[in-house]
Amino acid sequence: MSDTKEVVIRAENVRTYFPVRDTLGRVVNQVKAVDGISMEVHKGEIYGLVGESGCGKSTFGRTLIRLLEPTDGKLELLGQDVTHTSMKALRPFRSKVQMIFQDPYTSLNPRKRVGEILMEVLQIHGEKDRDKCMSIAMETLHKVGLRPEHFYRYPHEFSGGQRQRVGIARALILKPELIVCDEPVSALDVSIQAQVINLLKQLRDENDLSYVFIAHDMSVVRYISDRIGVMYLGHLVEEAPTDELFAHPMHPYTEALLSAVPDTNPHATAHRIHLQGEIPSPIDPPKGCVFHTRCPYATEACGQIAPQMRQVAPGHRTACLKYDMPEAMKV
Amino acid sequence: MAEQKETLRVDSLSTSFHTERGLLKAVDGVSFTVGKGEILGLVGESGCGKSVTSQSILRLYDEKYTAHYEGHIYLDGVDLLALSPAEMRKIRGSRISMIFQDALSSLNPVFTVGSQICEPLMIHQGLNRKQAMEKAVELLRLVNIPAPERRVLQYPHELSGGMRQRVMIAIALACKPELLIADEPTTALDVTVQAQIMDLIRELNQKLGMSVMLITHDLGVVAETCDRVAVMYLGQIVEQADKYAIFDDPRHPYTWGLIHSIPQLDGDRTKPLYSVEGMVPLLSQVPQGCCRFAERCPKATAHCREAMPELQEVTPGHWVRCWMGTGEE
Amino acid sequence: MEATKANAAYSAGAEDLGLLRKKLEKEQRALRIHAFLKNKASVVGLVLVLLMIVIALAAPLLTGLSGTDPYTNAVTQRLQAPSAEHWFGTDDLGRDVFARVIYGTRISLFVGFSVSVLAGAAGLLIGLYSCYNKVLDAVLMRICDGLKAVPSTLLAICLMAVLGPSIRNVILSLAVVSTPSMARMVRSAALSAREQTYVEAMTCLGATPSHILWRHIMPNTLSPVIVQMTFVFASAIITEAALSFLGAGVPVPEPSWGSILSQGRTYIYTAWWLILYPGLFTAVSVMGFNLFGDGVRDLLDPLSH
Repeated sequence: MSDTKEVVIRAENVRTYFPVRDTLGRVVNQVKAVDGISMEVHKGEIYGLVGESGCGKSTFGRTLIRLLEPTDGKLELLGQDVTHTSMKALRPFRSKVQMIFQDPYTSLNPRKRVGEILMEVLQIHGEKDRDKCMSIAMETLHKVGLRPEHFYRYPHEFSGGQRQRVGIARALILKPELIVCDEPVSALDVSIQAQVINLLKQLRDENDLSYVFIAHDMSVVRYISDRIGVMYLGHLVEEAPTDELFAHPMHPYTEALLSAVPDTNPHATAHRIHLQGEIPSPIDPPKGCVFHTRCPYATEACGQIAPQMRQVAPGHRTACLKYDMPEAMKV
Repeated sequence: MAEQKETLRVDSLSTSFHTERGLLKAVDGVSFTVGKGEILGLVGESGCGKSVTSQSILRLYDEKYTAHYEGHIYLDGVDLLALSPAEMRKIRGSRISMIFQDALSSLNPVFTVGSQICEPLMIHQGLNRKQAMEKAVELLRLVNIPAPERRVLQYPHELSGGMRQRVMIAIALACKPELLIADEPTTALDVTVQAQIMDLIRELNQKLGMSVMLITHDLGVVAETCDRVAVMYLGQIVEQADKYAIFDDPRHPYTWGLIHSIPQLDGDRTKPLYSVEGMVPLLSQVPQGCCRFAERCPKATAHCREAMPELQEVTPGHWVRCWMGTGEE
Repeated sequence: MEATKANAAYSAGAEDLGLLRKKLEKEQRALRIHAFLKNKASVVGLVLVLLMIVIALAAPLLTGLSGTDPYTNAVTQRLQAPSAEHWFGTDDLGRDVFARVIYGTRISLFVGFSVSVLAGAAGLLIGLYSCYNKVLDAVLMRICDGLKAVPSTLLAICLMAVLGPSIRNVILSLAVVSTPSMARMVRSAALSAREQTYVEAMTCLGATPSHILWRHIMPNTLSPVIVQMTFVFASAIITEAALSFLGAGVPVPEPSWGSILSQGRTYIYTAWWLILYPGLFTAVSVMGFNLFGDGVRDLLDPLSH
């Protein structure tokens, strides 16, 4: 299906840890925000990344586009190894990978007009001709459904949905190949969410873009993504094409997550899978499988052996001892 | 006789605010009831006035300079808007309780969770500290917090988001209120925690027979938890019915639009999502003398732009504020 | 929201866009000026500031009218109450207080204004660079802490003692005294601006740290700086008065409001005119600058429209 497609971004065992310092500044611990994730995104695909708070999906999104430097592992952008490239050397890549942020109210500089915000991006990348900058900016505004007179307005004169469109325009203006969308519709009203989601899909179709779509709303992720990766405590626990994931969730966490999603069908009965306990801290994650402390199927082995990702169906892999080392679970 | 079946009856409630731009009506002639033991969902997007409605019921706004109420709010036959401030204080926290969206900022960080639960018990029921603490442990157990004897001595920041929300619910339940108002209680929570909290609210509703008014923008939560639903737009109720009627047969174009804007878990992933045209206007620019939704409505006619429709009962128990929603389509 | 004439405008070329821009800018400028004028406090402030500036510039004219000058000693006429001849009375050396206050306007305004501009600029630079680099931050902030530990008047006196008496040195000393708090304020405004999502977005878009610092963070620190500058103006005038009292201020016989005030302290019960007139002028100009500063800050802040 997507075997022959070009790989836009590839992560191999990426880890992003944040040091925890004491009052004297010495490192006493690490927050293991992203703890060994391997995945890839293909050209023209929308890869949905889901998980709850603290799973590290935002951190991973930022690591993918090198806003953060991975502590370990390998990151390849458009075929080039960018794992430890300096910020300066990364600048040519910045036009290829962009980000859309969650909060439309703080992601735009309130003191700059919308048009200036867009033109500034072009100017940073060396476009000197002011008229050319202006016409490209205008064109991009049109692409996202805004109007010419919006060029000279300040962000606070727009609604949340329109501001998000400006954010999308800003990400699009350099004609990137991949856009990481960090919860782009979570802060918007339902009716506006639909407009922005439709827009994102349309832009992908028109420009052959790839997205990493980070969200916690499962119904939105299901609608927009081609493939989905489920994260828990810094690990990727399952990855599959969308329909497959919803039809046959393999990992216990995915099952529980899907059972918790409220259905807008009042006739459906909820079959909730209740997880015990709380999400552990990423500073001190559980040994073995990180999910074993809350898993309804956990055995003793799960607390000792960390499962690897295993393919369970075409394009569908999961990290659970049930599929990785089933014999260990029988003990 | 009707009073015994209803816990709360709101009759033409209007709440206006004094602002620099004049008097703004955030809630305009809203009427609904919450039956005994019923869970009513008040749904709408930002700016529709649902939070203002809930805070008006408890008269939480400053009445001297800021807010102005009209209409009646009957709690078991007594009009809350006619009570004195002292009498109103006796109602808050004991007969009507409220829980808010962000539990972390709703709890005082310098007091233990236990002492915050004790507060309404000591104020309204006159218990002493020891008795109140025992009750607090019971309440924590009621909201499914494990090891309540330990938790009662902890501070809010030591608990997770879901637990804090349960503590809020425990505080709200302390004096066995007749009505619980939950204002977006799960918006800030993860979906698994949200499911637990909504399950808890349903459980308490059944166990204690307590009425609940749930304010939310999440239609999924409404479909799972509520018995009846009222949809608000720009300060008015545009549709009100039991939840099956609302989801299976939405009569108001706005309700229909909202439901179809949400991607269904079993929906077609290839078709673009339906989206409601335009944006919610500012309160200061609300169109007058016509249906407020007309400028965004795909079914609007000339008549819709000239006259404001009233809330009408189109089928028993199903009320719609729409010229077109009377089944002519 | 507003016009639907938009869609027609969409097919406009670059020319029409230029016109649209000019029209919008004119509109917005008019809106801002209107907003400024509507704010009665800022208008009052502006008027007072202009009044002071006019007095300073027209000093010779005004003293021509009164027929006096600030320097002539006339010991026989010392400490005389206000009269037709000496509108504001005379000081303890018989000099005309009116002329001294008028000429003092020049000096006090100049000192106050220069100190606030210098402290503002220095504070801005120090604060911004501290935010930029951790090592620089540690060093600069410790220096500022050290300076702040010394009471401001005392520090100013020490600096004057080292530098020697002159108006320029007064300005320098007072600027040094006022810079640390300005720097600290800029630093904290810069740090919070740096945490904003749009700064992260700019990094993501490939902007260099220095571009972000000057084009995005700095404009967000201007607001508190301007307000602080008006306070610095006021305190500079008053600290100068303290310096003059101790003989470390503006060199004698140059008149400044502060020096007249400090002279007057000895005679406060007998020669009230030595306190009233310079005090009045000080209070009026301080208030004027404060109100004007608030108005300017609101003008610069697009959010307040």
